[in-house]
Amino acid sequence: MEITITESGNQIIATFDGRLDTVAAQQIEETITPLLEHADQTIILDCEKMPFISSSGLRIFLKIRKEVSAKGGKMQLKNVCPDVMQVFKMTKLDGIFEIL
Amino acid sequence: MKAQISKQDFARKELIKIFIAIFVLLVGSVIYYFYIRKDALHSAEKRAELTLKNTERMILIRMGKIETTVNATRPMVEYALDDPDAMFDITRHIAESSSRIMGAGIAFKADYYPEKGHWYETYVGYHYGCDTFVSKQLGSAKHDYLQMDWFKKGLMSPSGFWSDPYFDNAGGKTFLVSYCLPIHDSTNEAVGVICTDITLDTLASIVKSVKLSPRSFCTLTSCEGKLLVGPSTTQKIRGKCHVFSEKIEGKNLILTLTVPDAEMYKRLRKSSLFFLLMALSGIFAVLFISFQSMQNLWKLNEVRLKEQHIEDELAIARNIQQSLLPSEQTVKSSKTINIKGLQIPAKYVGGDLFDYYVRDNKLLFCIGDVSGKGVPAALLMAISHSLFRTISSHNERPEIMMEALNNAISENNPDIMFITMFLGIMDLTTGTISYCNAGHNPPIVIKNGRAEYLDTEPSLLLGVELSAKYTAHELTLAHGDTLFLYTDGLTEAENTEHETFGEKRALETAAHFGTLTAEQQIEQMHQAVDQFVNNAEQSDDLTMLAIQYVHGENRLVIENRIQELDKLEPFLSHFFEQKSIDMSLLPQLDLALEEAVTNVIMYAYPEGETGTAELTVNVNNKQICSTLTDSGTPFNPLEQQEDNLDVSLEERKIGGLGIHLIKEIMSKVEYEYANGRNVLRMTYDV
Repeated sequence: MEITITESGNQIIATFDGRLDTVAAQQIEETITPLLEHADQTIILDCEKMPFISSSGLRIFLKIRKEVSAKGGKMQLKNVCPDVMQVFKMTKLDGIFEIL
Repeated sequence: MKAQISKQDFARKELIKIFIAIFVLLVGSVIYYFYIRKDALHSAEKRAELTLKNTERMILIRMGKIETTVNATRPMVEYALDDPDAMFDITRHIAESSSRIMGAGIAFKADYYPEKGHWYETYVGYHYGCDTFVSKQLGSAKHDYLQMDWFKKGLMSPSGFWSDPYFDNAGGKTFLVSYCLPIHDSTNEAVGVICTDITLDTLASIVKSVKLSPRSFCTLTSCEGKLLVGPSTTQKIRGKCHVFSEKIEGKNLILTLTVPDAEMYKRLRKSSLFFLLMALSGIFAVLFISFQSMQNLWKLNEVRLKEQHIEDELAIARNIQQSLLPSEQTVKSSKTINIKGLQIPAKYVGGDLFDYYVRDNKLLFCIGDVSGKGVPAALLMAISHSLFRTISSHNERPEIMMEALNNAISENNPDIMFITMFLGIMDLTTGTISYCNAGHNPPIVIKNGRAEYLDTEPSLLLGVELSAKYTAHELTLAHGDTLFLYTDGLTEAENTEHETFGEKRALETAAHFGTLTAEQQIEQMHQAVDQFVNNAEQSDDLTMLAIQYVHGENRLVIENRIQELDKLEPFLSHFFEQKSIDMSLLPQLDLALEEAVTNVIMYAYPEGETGTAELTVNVNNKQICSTLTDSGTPFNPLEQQEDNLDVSLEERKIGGLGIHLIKEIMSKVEYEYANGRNVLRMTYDV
């Protein structure tokens, strides 16, 4: 799992590349710190190259979402593949996450 | 086992050889004896013949002298034919010319000298009585020489001749022989005969002097067989004699040499005695040498037999030792392991051991190396082997087994022999090995094609200290992983340059095992070390044992580390592929099972404790059934509070999502705690 973080205007774009499974979730715990630091801005999570997400991955997203809510920013997801979308639906997170 | 030759058999064989040798020697001797006998006889005959010839020659010379004397006188007679009285002088001259001459006479034809009468023979003869020569006119009517053979024959003969020997009754009482020579007048008409008598005694000395051997004798006989000269003393000759005879040409005499058979072969006897002595000493020498060499051979044979015996026993010991080695067949029913052991002892029997067997779904194994080599090491090895079997049969912990082994070996170890040993118990369901290493070479662990030494602190050697404590460690093998055990015979195998194979080479070889089976791995390592050692003599026992864990394609064992989760997706993917399941179903099943396994990894075992989770997946045409088990603390994930998904985000607790996902994806989820294990059964509708 690789995460590329780019800044574009007042938007932070994080591109997820690979499976966000339990192992990956543990590995990227540190990597997402910059995102949390910019929680007052709009954070866009590009999920185009992320075919899989586990509950640990969901927790990463939830963690960012929580931080954003607290600091007055926004978290948006884009290019979510059907399999991952299915997981969001199963967990009712499709209603919570702002999916573009 | 080879047939042993008994002492009797051996001696018999050797004796036959000796007897054949002696027989050949004897036959050779006999043939040679007869050959030299013939030769000796031949040379004896030659010698006898030569002696006779010599004797004849001496006789001829002696008689020839008479002839010459008389012949020389004849011209005188013929010259003085006119003077009849001169004949006396000439006669005396003849008679006195040789001591051999007993008498001489010149007789004339009848009325040759009319004045002398009808007979005229001048004679000078030796008179025995007065030991002097006496002259007289011998012819008279009483002594009518004209009628005598010698005279008549003398007149007729062209030259001189010898008469037959005759006995002189008149004076000498001895055999005489006469030489008669005709006298011719100027008209070459025979007018008289000179007659010279000689005694055969003169020849007797010659004849008697002939001595070929002590009892041989020579005789002189007339042609009629009258014995003229014989041995002086009467002697009887017993047995066979060899008789040689020679007629003396023109003398009417026959020389005979008689040699007793015994004396004929006297020389032969001497030489044959010598020969016999030589042959006998030869035979004795043969016997002596044979006896000596037979003894030596027997000793050698005994040594050889002893060696053979020892070799046989060592071969038996090796067979026994090899029979102690476990067979792969014994663990064949355990489908989750591939196992292969190999042992090549350096000296018939070795001090290395390895053993394994399956009990209660557990593989119990050990590999060890007894200090030293040969029979003592092999004995201790056999003891250790049976100790391992006994102790491991009722123990569950390797360190306890090791302590028991150490105590048993240390208790009675007068020769301070020690053993290095690696002992382990492998759970065939999970691939987890608890092991204990008593100073043994660290085994190589091959995981995902990567080989490395099992880096754990070894405990004390076995047999060194009573009541020593041992520590166990744990290791889990995943599908295809191998624990490669060996003795120092591998790493310390030397080539001709005395370089050792070494741990580095062993590890490099193992790194190339790839997907090889246990058997192929052993083979490859064996080849590598063989190639390295080349033609150098094997200096130590070489023992290797490869234990490869192969759960089936529907089974996966995962350790309680997050990283282990990486195995899940490839495992499921492979399973879907093998069972031709719709791949689009994979992400969902993967997600549910990852959540379940994560749960075990995170919560089943107390912090810091190593444990495993075993996942089994089966499929039929409607469902995919998954079973996840672990031996952790009893825990029912289904009873865990699920997230209330309807509450706002801020109210949500992180956690509980996993269980929710499992329940969401799976059509049926059941939990039970059985046989000390948490069992979670999950059914997925296809």
